[in-house]
Amino acid sequence: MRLCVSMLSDATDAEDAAQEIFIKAYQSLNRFRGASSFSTWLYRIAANHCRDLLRKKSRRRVESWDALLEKEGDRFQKLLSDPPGTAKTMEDSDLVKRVLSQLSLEQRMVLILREIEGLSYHEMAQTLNCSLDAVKGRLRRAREDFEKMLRHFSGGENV
Amino acid sequence: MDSIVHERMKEKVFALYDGELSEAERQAVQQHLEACPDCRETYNRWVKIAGTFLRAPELPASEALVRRVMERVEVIHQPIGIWPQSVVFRWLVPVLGVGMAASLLMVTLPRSNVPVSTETLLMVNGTESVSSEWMFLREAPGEDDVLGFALERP
Repeated sequence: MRLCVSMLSDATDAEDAAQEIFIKAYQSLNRFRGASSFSTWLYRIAANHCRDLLRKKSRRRVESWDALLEKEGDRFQKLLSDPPGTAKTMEDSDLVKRVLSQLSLEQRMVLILREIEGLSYHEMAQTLNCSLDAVKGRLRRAREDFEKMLRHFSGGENV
Repeated sequence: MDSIVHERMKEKVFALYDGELSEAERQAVQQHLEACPDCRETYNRWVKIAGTFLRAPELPASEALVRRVMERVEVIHQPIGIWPQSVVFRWLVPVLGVGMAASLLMVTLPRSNVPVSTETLLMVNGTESVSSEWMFLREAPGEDDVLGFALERP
């Protein structure tokens, strides 16, 4: 459910997706062979489902990076200057989701699986069906791109 | 500082943050961080970014979700057809089947047990009513003596 919320940036969409994922998993239980842990297997179904949804959604393009930068620059600077551990408001979370949605699908996926879901490199490789080196490479690029975007907001002062 | 070592260590800065290094590697990278401001900056920057932006989101209450999923699982288990899967209706189908079979037997059995004889047909309707039998006799003469006699009469 958390993965869906992070990936889809919308609570209603996330709940609908979570429903579909559980039903898909239930219907595919006989295909679970135990090669990976059950949670990794479930993550794989969830990741594929969210990816499919986002691909369909990407045809209706989200707001442009420039528009977001112009509209939310001040709010973002305030967020960056808050001391670590400061409680975030709903608006702050929404803003972060919108920045995350500017990353490519694969980059968003690896960042969320690692930073929010706390999966290990090995679990990520199983979930994304790729090698350990590919996971490391994607994660590094995702982090670098995410940092670059934050620098745009802060003008390089706080990040 | 040896730039090759620096590049190799930089690769491992994120792995250190992710807790994906062996004990020996972890110590080596930590030593490097103490000596290298560039890598230390990369590490500290990411700690701050992840702590600020990439925290687990609040999850909405999940009871409604569980209820909806369970409802759909029950639907998946229902047999295809018009009969609900309750104990009463589970017995109704074979009972109805047996009833229908019994009704069919009652309708068909009296006909097969009491055949109408050729004599009865001749007495009631004359030779007109047995014209089909006459056709049969032409193909198989001697099968019905009474009918043969009636049809041969002038």
